[in-house]
Amino acid sequence: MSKAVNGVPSVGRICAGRLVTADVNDSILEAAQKMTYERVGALVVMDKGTLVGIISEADLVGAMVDEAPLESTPIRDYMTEAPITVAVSDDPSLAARYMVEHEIGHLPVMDLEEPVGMLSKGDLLAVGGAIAARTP
Amino acid sequence: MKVREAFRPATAFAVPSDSLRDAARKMRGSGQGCLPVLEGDSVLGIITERDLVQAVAGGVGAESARVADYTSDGSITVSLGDECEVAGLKMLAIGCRNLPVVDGDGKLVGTISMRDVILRSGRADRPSAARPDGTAHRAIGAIR
Repeated sequence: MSKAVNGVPSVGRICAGRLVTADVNDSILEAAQKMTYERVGALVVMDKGTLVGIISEADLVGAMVDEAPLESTPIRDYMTEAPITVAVSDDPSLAARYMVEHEIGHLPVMDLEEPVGMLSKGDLLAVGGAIAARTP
Repeated sequence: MKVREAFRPATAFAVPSDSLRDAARKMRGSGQGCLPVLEGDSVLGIITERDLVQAVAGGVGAESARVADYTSDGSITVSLGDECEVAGLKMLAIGCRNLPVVDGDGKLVGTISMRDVILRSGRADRPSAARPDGTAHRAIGAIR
């Protein structure tokens, strides 16, 4: 997606996760089924073509704790609105900082205003050695 | 860096007879995405947020299903003397964000998370880990 700068791969290069989206009105059960079927830990939530949130496995566990009816509760009730994002050209260190400071596991990767990927902590760990060795 | 310098002392664990909702409550209460499953002092395995999500996706009742039926391999632990990199590699291998940490006798002493590993790697502290205005970018969409 994006070139390496000074030998350090950009967020766009290390982002291994496919972008899987859900509609803001989908149910929690549909979100759980989509995460399971697509083998991802979080979904980007869209409303009329615009990114409005992100919902993660942790959010679904929250719905279980609340004993929410999973078939009728919409994603919008448990998603994180206006999530922090990174750009395809950003440095992975920036993504690592966001994840640590805000205690989040996934960051939507944006190309201008369009979501194009999902970066996970696993992506950062997977390239950790290479980044550590190549970053001043 | 060694796991002993990065791990967090045990705050929550599950037992095999817990319901999946019990496990969810313990995860939520402790802020952990994964719980060690104990039988006495022995670590039987782990149960993760992903296990819970997959269970409900398949129509399993969170109240009736037991942790025992969703516990993964108990051999997946790290020791206090292991390098954090080893913990990270194990997490990647099994797709978990937390691992039980055991002492020399195999007794649970705590957990270590991907966040702990990334934090200790120092990458989040590099100068490149900031935008010029110091702010995080947020998606601009809003619920209408």
